[in-house]
Amino acid sequence: MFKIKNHRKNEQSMVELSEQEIKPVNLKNHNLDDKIINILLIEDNPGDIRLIQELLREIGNEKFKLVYQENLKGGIKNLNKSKFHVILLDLTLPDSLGLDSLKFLLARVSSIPIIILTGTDDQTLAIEAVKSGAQDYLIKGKVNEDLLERSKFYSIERQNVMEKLKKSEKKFRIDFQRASFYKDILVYDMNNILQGIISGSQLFTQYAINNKDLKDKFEVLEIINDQVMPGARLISNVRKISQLEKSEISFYPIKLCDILKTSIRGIKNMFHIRNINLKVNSMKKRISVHANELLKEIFDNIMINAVRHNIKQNAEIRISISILNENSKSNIKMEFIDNGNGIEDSMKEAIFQRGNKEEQYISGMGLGLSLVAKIVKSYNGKIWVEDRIRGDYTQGSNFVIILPELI
Amino acid sequence: MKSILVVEDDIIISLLYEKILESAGYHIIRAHNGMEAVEKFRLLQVKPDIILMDHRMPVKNGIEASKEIMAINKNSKIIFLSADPKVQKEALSIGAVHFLEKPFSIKTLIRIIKEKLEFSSYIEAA
Repeated sequence: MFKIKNHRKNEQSMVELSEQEIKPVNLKNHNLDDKIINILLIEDNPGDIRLIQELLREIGNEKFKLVYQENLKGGIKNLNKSKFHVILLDLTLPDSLGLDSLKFLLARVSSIPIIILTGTDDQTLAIEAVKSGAQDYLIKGKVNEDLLERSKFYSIERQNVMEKLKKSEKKFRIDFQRASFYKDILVYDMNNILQGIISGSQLFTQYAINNKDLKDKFEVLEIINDQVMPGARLISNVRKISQLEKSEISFYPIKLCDILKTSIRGIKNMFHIRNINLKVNSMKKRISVHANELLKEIFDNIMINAVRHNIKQNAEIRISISILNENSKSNIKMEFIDNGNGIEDSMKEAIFQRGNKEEQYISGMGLGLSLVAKIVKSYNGKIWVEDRIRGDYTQGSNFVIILPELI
Repeated sequence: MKSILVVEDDIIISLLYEKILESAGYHIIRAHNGMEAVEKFRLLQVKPDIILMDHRMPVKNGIEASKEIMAINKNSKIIFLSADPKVQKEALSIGAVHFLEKPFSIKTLIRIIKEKLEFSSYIEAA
């Protein structure tokens, strides 16, 4: 049925199934787009070569073009010459043994599926080969035409899937790099711009102090100054969320109330022109948590929201700290109870999830609470929001945080 | 009069620093990239009391410039002013006395400068 054109003692020799000599046969179980499948067989045993040829004939010769080489070097040369859909590789070649042959091939043609041909005693090696990147293995003497065809078909399909996966992984990596780039621009360039604005407006404030006509217009400058810091805060939140997602931040023991005090001081400073009534039920000096510098972000963000989203004359924040002992575990419960504008029931979960879902926008809340939720989660804690007065959200909110106590 | 070397590639910001710090009573020398900063520092007979150093600049970044300045005079007081918080660790490790993340308020900047100057005069007096 097929002619051997050259004798394979010659290293460059190859056997080709000439297409004209093969009668068309209807193929069974085949849907590889009716293309001719080019097979490269790298095998030095004439008996095994003959066997593969026979099996291919059984399946249907018009669908295959078989090229064989008796050693790896010749195989590589052929790969450079023409395009193959699948490689059948024996692991005991005259110029290469075992997994080395596979690795050598994979390094050069990662996109062509490789099926290992192995003896019955070499099954362990064959499994290793699959782990190293071969698509399948066939045991010599146990191969029939169905098995060969199925293996080939699946190998090609699997390789296609892997190629698609590689492409999608590459696309993902490019997108990720792009996102990092945007983040970099935001963090760096925007902060520089804000620096210009804040320096300019504060310098103008200095000039205005000595000018009678401008003295009354101070509040305009205050507004400009007050807008810069929330802008800077938004940028800083973007950066910190990205750090958390990349797990770039480590954890260490921290005294909770030290951080809370610093945060409260900062809030009072930030809103010095507003009336804020801020009370803590009891500063439990000793309690510690396994956390990091982001702990302050939790308190800052919740309290800033409580003041900013509050149209009342006096903004009130009551902080309650208690210890919950459950199942021999000790948790710290912190409640930040405010008299702010409140959060509707439909928004109570969504406020913590901005950025997790596409096209979700929660007006005015910025990124703060999703950052808070991410930080709390990284401390193995929980956070949720309740109404200060149950059933009437307009009376303000109670942000509840549970953090494991470090004993 | 205490003098401050301001290293900042953004002309607008650099001018603003100059006006702000001059009105606070300091003498200002400006450099617009790391290389210019090192050259000016080398040539100055009386070294500046404080150096305000930006990081990202077109010719020689803040870290490199600071290393060279510290090599010329290891007692230099460099305050890093950067919008890039990633360089904080490195800046402090090469001997910067402070890292101020942009944007900061003028009040903060002047407070930090005063702190660092007081600290140095305390050492000199001792």
